[in-house]
Amino acid sequence: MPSNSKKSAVIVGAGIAGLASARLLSENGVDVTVIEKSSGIGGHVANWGCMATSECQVCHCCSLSDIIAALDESPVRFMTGWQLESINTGVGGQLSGVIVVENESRNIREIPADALILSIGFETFDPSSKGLWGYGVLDGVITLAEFDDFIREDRLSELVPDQDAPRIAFFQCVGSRDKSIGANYCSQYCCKAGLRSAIRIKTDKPDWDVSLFYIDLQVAGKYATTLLDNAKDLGIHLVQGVPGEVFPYQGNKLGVVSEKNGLNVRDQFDRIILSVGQRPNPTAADLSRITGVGLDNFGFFRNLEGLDRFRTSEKGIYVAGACSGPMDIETTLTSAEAATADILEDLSNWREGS
Amino acid sequence: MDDIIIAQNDNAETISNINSAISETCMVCGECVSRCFLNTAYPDMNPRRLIRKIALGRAQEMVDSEFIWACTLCARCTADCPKDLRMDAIIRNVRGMAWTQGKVPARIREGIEKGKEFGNNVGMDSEEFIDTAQWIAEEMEDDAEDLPEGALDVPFDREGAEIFYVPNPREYTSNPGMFQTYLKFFAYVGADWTLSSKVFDITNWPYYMGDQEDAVDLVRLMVDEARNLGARILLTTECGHGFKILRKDAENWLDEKLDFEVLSIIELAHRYWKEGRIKLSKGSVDKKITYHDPCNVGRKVGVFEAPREILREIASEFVEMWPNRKYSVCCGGGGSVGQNSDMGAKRLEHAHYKKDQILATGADVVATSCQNCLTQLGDLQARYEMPVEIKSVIELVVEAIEHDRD
Repeated sequence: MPSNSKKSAVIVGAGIAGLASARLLSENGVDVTVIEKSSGIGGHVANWGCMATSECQVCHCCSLSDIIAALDESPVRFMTGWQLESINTGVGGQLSGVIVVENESRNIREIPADALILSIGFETFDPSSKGLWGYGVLDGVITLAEFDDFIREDRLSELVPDQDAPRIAFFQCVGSRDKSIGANYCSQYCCKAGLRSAIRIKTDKPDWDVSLFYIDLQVAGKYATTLLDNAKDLGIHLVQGVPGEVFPYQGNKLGVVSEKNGLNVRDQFDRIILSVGQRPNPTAADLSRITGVGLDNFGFFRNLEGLDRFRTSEKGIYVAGACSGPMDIETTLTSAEAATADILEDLSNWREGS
Repeated sequence: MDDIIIAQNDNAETISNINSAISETCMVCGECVSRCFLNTAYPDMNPRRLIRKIALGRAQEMVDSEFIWACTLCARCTADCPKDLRMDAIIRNVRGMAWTQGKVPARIREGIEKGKEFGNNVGMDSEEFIDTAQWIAEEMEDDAEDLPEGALDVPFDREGAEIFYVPNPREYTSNPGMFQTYLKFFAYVGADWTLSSKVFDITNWPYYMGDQEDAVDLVRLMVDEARNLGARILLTTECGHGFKILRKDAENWLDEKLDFEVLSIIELAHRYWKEGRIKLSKGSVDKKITYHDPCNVGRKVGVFEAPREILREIASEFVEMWPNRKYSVCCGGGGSVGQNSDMGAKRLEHAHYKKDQILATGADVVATSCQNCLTQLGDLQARYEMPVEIKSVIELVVEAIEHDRD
């Protein structure tokens, strides 16, 4: 590997995409600074629990701790509580550095940068905007992320405290593939995450009754069949059709109507877990103004196409992870690798040219 | 067989032979299945099955079904359909097929025929309408001391009047009390208004039947008359579909801009109140009031807050039903169901969800702003002996208007 020690990169966003990119760039001799708006690193994945039963369910959550362990040994600088303020360009519009500002003190600092990665991730869909699911209105309707806290903190037994054998339902495609809320795209992680969560419950709590309502299960890849087979073997009810309304039923139960065998049937549950999709990070609009990288119709960063899809219209600015479109952890890691490879290629070309 | 329009948007709500890529639209997500208030009354039918049947080339089964006549076109099922389908438009298309096959409920057909001949669904001519309207006004003489002078003179065909008011036939047939309520309202607000002796029916029964040709003719009549009179406001009575069609569809249907404003009387009352033209006595109706959103006024046109602001002002207590506004549950009598004698008392049995919703509020009064909803809610009250009064918002406004009683 050629040495890029005189080259530097700034990464905006310390989620798994940004951290994976930081590690790979640093390992290849690039001087890396990671800017993170919040006070901690790890993003959404840091709040996600391992889904392993007796076997690994290949959710890739644990990649984060591996990456952080490697970064601990690296010269990568972290600036948490800082945001991108503006960018500097040199001859020919080539990126030369960034100005960052600290949230509280409003201190400003200039950092040289030959490459900038936007890896600000996504925001989870707020299901209260489609009121009939009852999120925020009915107790017991929660999001997949909220459910995941019970797994991560190892307190699944507390999910339904007063029931020995509660009935749990997962609703898929909540906030995905939905024109009515401007999200006419598949979020690509939720079918697998929902299934793994259901499998995790049923493995730990065989007496619980678990249903998963779906439109069609978008589970692709080499582990797809294993996941579906596991779910079926464990007795998870996979039900086609996602109810659009949840109503209070017999006191503290949650009622739904769905179609089974050609009939409308009423069912009731103790908890309904909404597999919420990914929405663009709202700060993408600010960063678009600052960097000149456009947004697509949904509000994700607009990337270039084909082999250049981790590059953007702006020379020296790259995208990694879910800020350019919804993706799961595995795909996010791939995108970080690809963005890093593009940067290394571009940096070595520039050096030869200069 | 005509193709059915499946993908709908506000600009495409017309009946025509458009090839629809049906398999690319509905993705069988099932949202509509659970939101249809008929899902217990028709356990083997739901909006999604209807679409699938059409997709599979079995639309005729639906044409011959009772389900398309039990549907109230409330469109709650597709209120936020992930694919933007509009069930009310789809059902109207299926009914349009029934219409062309001559399979239409007798009473509705009769109303449509009368509409074509007389311009109104009760078959009343101009002379009889003028006599009836004047007689209804004269019947208020006992209350006349409460009203400003001249309040009982009903204006007809006044060119240059600001407001052209179009009533619902119920007002001069089965429910003259409603007409009196509106007359009082006009008197109290000092409206510059007129009736037409030729065009005096806001309803549009052909719309219910997917009979687009006749539906457009009726809209044309009203629009032309508003222009003849030089009105600045075409004011619709408290009629859901009549208001919705003029406000939302008329420009598309006629393919021309309307050079006057279409307002519902509830919006006018709200405007006059906000402008200070009328004063409402705060908390003067000493009742717990809830509001039923008519599907056409609320979900389809988006008038949610005006009636609520008025009711919050005049009621000693206002409570919401849940769900409400965009997700309001249909009263069960809309979309021709209330007029369709074939549906008989079924419309009351189908409306148990609405009944439960009303009872859960503990309200004394259910207010609404659609005469169709008013009739249905009144019948529901009687059928289930609910301890509530059913009132129109304008009735309550008239009770609460502060006026000079000297």
